[in-house]
Amino acid sequence: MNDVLVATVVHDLKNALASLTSSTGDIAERAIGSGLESDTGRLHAATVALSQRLVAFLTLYRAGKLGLSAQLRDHAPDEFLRELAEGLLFPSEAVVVKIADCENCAPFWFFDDYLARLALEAAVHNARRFARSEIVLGCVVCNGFLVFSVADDGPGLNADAERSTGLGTALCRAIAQAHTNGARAGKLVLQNRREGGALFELWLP
Amino acid sequence: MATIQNSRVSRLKALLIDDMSEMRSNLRAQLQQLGIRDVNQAASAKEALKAIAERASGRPLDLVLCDYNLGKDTNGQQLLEHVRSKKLLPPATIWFMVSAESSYDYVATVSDCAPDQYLIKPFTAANLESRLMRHFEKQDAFEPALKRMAEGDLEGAVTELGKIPGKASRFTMDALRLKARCLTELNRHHDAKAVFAQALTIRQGVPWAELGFAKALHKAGELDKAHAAAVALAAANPKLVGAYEILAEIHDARGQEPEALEALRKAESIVPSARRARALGAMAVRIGNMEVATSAYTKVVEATRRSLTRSPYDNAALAQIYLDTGDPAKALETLKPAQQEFSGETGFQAIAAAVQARAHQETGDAEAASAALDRALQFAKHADPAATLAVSKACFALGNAAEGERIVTDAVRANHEDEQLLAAARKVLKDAGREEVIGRLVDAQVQEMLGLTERALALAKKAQLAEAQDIIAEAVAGLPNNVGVLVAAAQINLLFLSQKGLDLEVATRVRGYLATLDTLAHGTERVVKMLAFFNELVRKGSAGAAA
Repeated sequence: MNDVLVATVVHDLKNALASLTSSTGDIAERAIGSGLESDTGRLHAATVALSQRLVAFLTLYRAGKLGLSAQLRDHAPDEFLRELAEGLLFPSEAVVVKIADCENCAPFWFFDDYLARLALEAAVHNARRFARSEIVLGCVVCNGFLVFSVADDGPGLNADAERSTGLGTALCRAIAQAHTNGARAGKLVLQNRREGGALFELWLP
Repeated sequence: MATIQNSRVSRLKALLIDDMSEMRSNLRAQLQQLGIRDVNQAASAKEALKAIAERASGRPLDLVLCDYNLGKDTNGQQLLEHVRSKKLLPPATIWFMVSAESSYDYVATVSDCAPDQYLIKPFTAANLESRLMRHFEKQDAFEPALKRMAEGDLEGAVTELGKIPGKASRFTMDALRLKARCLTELNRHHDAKAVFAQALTIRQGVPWAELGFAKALHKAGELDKAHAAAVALAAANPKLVGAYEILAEIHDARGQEPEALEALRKAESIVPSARRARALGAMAVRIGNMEVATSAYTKVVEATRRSLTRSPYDNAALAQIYLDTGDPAKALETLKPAQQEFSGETGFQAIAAAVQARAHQETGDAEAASAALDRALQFAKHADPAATLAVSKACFALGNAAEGERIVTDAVRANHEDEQLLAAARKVLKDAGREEVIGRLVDAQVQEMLGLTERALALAKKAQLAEAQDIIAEAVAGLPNNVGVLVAAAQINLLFLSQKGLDLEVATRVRGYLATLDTLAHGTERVVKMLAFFNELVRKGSAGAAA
């Protein structure tokens, strides 16, 4: 199969999926109070996750062929996290997505909001599979880096490795490295939390 | 998902532009989720322009959601540049550019004329809403400055932006960017340079600040530093098309025309567009690289055939290139389609008839050549000075040197401060083998015009205002679009108003001069200063009358 045909088919799939996601969102919203909100909420969460994973795959595929360049613009990290979290909240879901106190973060930072969103969505998607009750998003400035974090209260990284395709991690690593400031490049840090659960950190210079 | 509708959002009047009907339906549904009911749709740039024109009489559009990919002929960026340059929408209209993630890099790199936001598909109604809210927050933060800018009071806007506290906030970079933009438009390039430098101390390598810094250095006359800055910028951002464009301008200013051509060629290869191919073609013509000139203008004519940026002057330029490279048949063929479509465009018709005259002359049809030249001379009476130079070229080719010289003289006198026009006039005379008259027909005319305006200004300064007003009014009547003459006329009459008080007739005259200047030399320092001075005089005069 030639590249052009593959690209066309994937493009069509992506658009169809986006259209489907928009419909499931609409249905989930209209179902509130009908008794079906739990089912429609799950349906919508699943289509959103599928759509995000397809975009993540496409981004990574293209990064492998053409490289990934970050369009650095100034954004308010706390605003960015709020917007991200809004898109990740599904009514009636057992796991809650929260934002930690970002008071002490910088008022603005230079990063590619589109790529950072893809990375954090992938991290939340992963955390959602393991979290028991909550996922906490955070941002802080540390040693001249803006650090976005996704913490869950699941069993930690070892459990994660067995059930992961590695797509999310590879994508996040590529996105971190596409962010540079002078000689410094972004990085990805994955570790277990002392209090239990996994911690994902995206460090942007 | 948006569950609570925000009234500021739901009141918006929106236009959706996307060539795919399914995407339009999706976007419309998302706008409806936000409570936005007043939505127009367009499937192409042409339909979008029609929708914008239809809205021109009523309340203007508040929001445009435009897909970058609009089919073969025009893309969203070209449409945005067209709409902004022709001022078809008020500056407050929000423009969101929608793109697929596969073209995001490319779309975002283009951005010299940037949209308010980029939205990458797929996105949700909630994403759209939060982008809108962010935009409103920014508008609110800069409201006093934006209001001054909308009134054309850029100095006032700079003052307002100076009141924003120095402490870093979410809008620090936006404030610096806006301030630098105002200072650049005011031609205060040293001040603009300082603001760009301030932005770069916050974050090295921010493309808009680096680009602005290089441009400010260039405008401030620091060509070597500007060159170094532009070269470094292009090396760090190989896809940043603006870096090569400014590099071309710097090379040109340093007299390095082949290097300028190379930079333009690079810019055009990164993001091909009619505007860039046109700039490349014009530079190639100037340095006599007819191969590049032919290929660039051919590209422009082909690319704009069905586009809104189509201009008959591209056909005229290409036809002249064919003529100069010994292909009169192709020159005539190139003109034909544009001649039918742009019959009312006098400047183009003058050039077209002049090219026909030369083409017929070359193929030995003296009768047709003479008839075409007569037509060209008729059109030239009402054409732009730059267009008349093509007619003078035809006059020389057909042996009517006296008429050719008269046209060159008139063109120079019509706008003696326009360096490009003067260079083109000199080239016409040189190509016609009449270098010996350049001094008399170009340089002496420029000196005479400068003498006239200086004499009138000297009289005004010696308090002989009436005499100065008469001299300059006569000059304006004969040369209504000569920037230098209009500036002198405005200065003399402003002096009158400041000394003798507000006189309605003189004030009306000044308003007319300034309005013409605002079109011909928009944003230049002297025009901006005179506009501000005039507004101040009127304000004081009205206050005095009221008291």
